[in-house]
Amino acid sequence: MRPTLLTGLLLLFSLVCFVYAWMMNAGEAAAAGLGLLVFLAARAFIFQTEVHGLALSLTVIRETDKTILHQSSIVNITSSITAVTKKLTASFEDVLPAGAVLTAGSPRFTEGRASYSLNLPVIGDSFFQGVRITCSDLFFANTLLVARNAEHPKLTMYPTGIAGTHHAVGHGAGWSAQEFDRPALIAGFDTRTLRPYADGDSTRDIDWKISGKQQELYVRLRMDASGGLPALIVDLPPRGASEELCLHFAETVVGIQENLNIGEEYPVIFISGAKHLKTIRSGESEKIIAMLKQAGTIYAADYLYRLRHPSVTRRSTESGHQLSDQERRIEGLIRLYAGRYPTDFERMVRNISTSLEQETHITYVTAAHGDLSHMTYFINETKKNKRYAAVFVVGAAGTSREEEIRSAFTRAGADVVEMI
Amino acid sequence: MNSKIPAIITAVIAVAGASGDQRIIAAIIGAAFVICTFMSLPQKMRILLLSSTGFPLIFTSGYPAVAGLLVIFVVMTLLAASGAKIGPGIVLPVIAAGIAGAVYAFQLSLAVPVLTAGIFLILVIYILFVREYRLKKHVEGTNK
Repeated sequence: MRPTLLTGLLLLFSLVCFVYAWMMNAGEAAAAGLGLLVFLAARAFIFQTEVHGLALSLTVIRETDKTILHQSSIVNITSSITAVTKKLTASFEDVLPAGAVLTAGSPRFTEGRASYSLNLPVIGDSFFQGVRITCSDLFFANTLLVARNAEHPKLTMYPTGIAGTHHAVGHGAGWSAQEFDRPALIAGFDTRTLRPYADGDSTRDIDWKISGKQQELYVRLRMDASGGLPALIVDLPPRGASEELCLHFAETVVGIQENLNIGEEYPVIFISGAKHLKTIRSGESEKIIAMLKQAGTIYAADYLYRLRHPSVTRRSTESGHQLSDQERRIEGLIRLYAGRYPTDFERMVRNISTSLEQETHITYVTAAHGDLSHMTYFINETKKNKRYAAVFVVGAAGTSREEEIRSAFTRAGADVVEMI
Repeated sequence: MNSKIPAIITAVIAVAGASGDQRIIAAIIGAAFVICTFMSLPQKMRILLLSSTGFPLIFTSGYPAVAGLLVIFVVMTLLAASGAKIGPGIVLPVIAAGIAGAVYAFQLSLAVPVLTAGIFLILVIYILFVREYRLKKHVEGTNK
């Protein structure tokens, strides 16, 4: 409890009274000084009672967009409070967990609400420290840390990846000329999740392929969700794709799915061109195979109106030639959809992106049919949300389109483009 | 509680109970004290002015009992002006202060002011330390 300037002046006045009483031997002056002190004591009593009431009336509700974090993730927090201030002047501030770094917004409450973002570099469980109340009246001021609801929500930060003890890079089988730890590569972190076998390790974790080449047992450390879960987006070849391509495509998807196996289930999203087919969990192998069997049989959604202003719109409307019935119908569709925002396709991409809240490493498998715009849009959306994008293109290796596809996907922001 | 009524009572007691040579001064300061309650002033300024006129008013009293009564009414006026809700919790300490003030004015012995100062010190320590500690303990809790 701190006195305000007014209280300081009154205390000084009281002191003057006592000095006067002492020097002039005036009992009345001493009585006046005492009266002032009693007045201030009464006000202190009232102030404390009001602060007590305020602190007890405080309710805090905090909402976070995530509670499981990794080292670089930003948490968005919205807090709201209610409190009965009575005659006090009070301001409230959310007290961040120890070690948290404020990245945006302010933890001060304005009209009972505060929105801010923070980065939490502290490994393990962290809690909010409470709400700091600074209250004052004419005579006193006080700052209190009220820890009500401080433990909600609990934020848990896991380290990103596990420090590797061994680099297992060599020549051999794989999608390219090098053999590497694919989960670590896909995760984009400079760590290798392999280390020599030690007593107590499960034999199920032994990487037999690496162990065979290195003549020593190596175990693959399981990555947890803190490094970001993967997601697989499979762009099934549309109707007309050759049987050979479809088979190759299915094998590729199964192989990549195996490589993405990090011990936790992740979503496998099936699309075909601009059409969303189904989302399946990676553990549901039978359903995934059933979907892969549909490759080459799907009538893909119309490519023309997937984006807001496809360049083809301008070309078709500017041409002066006589339009056929089909062209006229397409033009009608273009007019209907060209100005619409967002288009069905954009909404679909956004919905998929929203559903991938915790998945930060997105792997695409595509046969790169059509004008590639649906894939470039997907990759763009992935990068916009600061996720890692790896694209595996089936059936394009060694063809004339290889360079065009690589260039298009790289320009769209893909971190890795591999031709299968 | 309206601060005008205790202010007027204070001024009347001050003028009536002032020592003979200080009655005019008491009347002037009392008038200023009352005017402060009628003027439209910021609360901070009103309390400062009431304090700086009210407590010198006590100096003018000619009788110890009057000094005690003035302490009671000046403090009540100040509390009313500061917006405090006047209840038994406030009135009783103020009356105690008035009695203590009267005893001071009598200048009976050195023991009385020392005793009063001791009680007051205990009160301050209770507010600043015991109540403050209890408040913090009650509302702060412990984080995991």
